[in-house]
Amino acid sequence: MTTKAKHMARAPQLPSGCVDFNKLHHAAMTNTDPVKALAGARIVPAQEKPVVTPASTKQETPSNG
Amino acid sequence: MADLSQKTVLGITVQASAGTYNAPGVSDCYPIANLRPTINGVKVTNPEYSGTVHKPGDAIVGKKVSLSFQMVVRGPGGATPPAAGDWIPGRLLRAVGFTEVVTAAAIPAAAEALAAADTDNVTLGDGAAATADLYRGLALNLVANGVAPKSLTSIVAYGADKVAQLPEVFGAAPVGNYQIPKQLSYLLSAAESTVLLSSSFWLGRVRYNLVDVAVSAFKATFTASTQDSASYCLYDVTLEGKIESTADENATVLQPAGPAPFFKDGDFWVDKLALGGSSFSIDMGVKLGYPPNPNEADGNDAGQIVETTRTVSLTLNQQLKATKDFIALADAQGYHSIWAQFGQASGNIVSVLIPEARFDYQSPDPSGDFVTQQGDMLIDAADKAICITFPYL
Repeated sequence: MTTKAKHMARAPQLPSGCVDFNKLHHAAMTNTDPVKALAGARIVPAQEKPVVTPASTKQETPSNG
Repeated sequence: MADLSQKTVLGITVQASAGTYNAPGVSDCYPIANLRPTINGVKVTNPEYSGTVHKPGDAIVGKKVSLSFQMVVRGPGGATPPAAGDWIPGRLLRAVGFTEVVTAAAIPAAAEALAAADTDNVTLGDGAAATADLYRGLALNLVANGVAPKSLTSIVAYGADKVAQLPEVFGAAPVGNYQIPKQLSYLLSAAESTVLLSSSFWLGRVRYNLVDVAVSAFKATFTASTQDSASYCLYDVTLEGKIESTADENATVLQPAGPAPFFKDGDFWVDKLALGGSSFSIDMGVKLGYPPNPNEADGNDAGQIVETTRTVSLTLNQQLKATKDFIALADAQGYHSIWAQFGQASGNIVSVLIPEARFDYQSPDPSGDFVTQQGDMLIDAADKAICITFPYL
């Protein structure tokens, strides 16, 4: 068994769409790479892409400059 | 003997992959109400001339199955949150696009002192991470702020400075300890759902098995229970899928899901103000699509949610302008939170948070005993835009 395969065998496999939040919290407290922590805490869909947060619809006061 | 409608049972499982039926067993069944299955033929009108006014009947090309039902809003109960993937209503929520977030141990392990507090925000202590957004949508126990569940609140926003914005405003800044309690949370994910379900429903002595089941409609309605009128809070769900098989099999006898929490003796805060009102609902505005694929028996792959438009509908008691000017709020189109919490028993407390929504105009309605105002709030955000949490004390 390769090292990667051994690692995969040990890694907890959560059902799709589930997150172990205590693991995420621990990663955040120990400054672990959050992407790697997230990968261990859930199955990340391959097609997951960053989402653009909609800009606020609040009207800003126009500058007079 | 005719089959009895009361012997209606629904089971739900998550499929490992599209097209692979995962047969629900007895432990995958959960009480539902008002099940309405429909099996409709997919028809196309024959365009050919028949040499007479009498045209041939439509061609039957396939079948489309949908399943509408209601499920009572209640928590999983027990002493600790269930293991990931175990809770049956959670499978539905995951199929809609919520992420199931299991916090099996309280954070921090022992309640610790707040670093600072204001009337509508608190700064968490050393046991909390300085990671922006990390705790958004989760329940927070301000331990000294009353007897639980009254001491529970929710986190609308969380900054790298450890400041947690709250959906309510206290008369005085909270003091004492805090803890993020054990909880089972469903936080809307920015990513589309990748969860496909298998479902079986029994009607008396007949079992129908569905594969590649996706959610085509999802609405949660929270109705206040009063001395005049009591109501369950309900999810209205519609599923669509393909018939995998049918069989003559008796419906199983369900274990009762236990008492449900009622929307009273709790919290209902709109834009950081506790307001009276009869109900609010969250409609996911799901649009389900079927990718064409002639290799498949039905001519398409499994259904996928192709878009959602998320809306909150409110029915509030009319408010004085001096209390809250809803017309001005709709004019301004800023973002405001909605938070409701009800239920008393650990694991059966329901906390519903919409961190950011814009007001549509609310119409006054004097048709009943009390003047009410009805209108929508619109949700732009995706990630953690709707948070349903079941805290454990």
